[in-house]
Amino acid sequence: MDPLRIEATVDTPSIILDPKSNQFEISGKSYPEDTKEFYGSVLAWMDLYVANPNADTTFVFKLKYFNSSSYKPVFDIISKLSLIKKKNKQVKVEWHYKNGDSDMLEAGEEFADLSDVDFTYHPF
Amino acid sequence: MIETTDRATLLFNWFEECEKENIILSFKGDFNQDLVNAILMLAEREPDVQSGGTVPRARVFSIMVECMQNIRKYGAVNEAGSELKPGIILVCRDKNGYSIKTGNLIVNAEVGALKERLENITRLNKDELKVLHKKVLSETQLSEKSGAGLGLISMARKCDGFSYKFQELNERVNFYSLDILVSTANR
Repeated sequence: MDPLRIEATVDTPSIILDPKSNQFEISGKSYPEDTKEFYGSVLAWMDLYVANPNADTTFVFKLKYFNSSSYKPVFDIISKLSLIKKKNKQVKVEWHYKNGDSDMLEAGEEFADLSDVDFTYHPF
Repeated sequence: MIETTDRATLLFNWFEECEKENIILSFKGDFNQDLVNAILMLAEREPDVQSGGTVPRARVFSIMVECMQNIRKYGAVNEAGSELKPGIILVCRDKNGYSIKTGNLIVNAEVGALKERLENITRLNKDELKVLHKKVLSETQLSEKSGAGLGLISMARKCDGFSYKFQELNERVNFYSLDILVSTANR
């Protein structure tokens, strides 16, 4: 499966989704005006990936900031990861947050509450 | 000559007002995404914002984004047929923290529904807002309009109090203003 790589811009995060190198990471800032347009290709890629996932998937979120309309696509990505778990394959989320940013840590914990995927938390 | 003097007075009054109210950032105009990005970049570099600590700084940034994008999404145009959605934003600093003040036009017919949502949100405490936020997030379907009302809820969660006001300007629009506080105390 082809990787999906998108460079970060001032208001959109960097996307690295690469099954070959087993790297799955969304990092940076996310507050585009149109989140559907930006995350559409990411969610479409995830649909294909979860149909035939690697044996072990670690999905890294390393967001400095995201706006309220980015909540939904991030939640959708996490929901799709849950489908991997249903296939009895390993999957977990690494939630990175800026050291001291308790709001961002809390956002990760809230996503974890709404999901059956395991989360670990890492200040950076 | 008189006109020039009046303008100088206007400018001086505004300058004095900024000093008095500790206005560290102000902008009035049509908020498109490029401008939103430029204003955020200014805010990030502003020493008074940087000195506030990690959480208040992130909250000021977050509230500014939500407010400006809301003006862009839901604001009314300045006159029928125009595409410009005028808005104003001020960021003030005092010893207790920040206040972010925004104002924009809103079509009269939309005032009732917005007022009701604001009233509902102000009634909730932080824990109740958290529960509501999770509920809206998990119940929102992909097909629904992006955000689906999370903006006001997350703004309310991130601030330490806010007030709002509607002023009817004419038979078409109201001026809708928000005053949002972010405290730097105990952080």
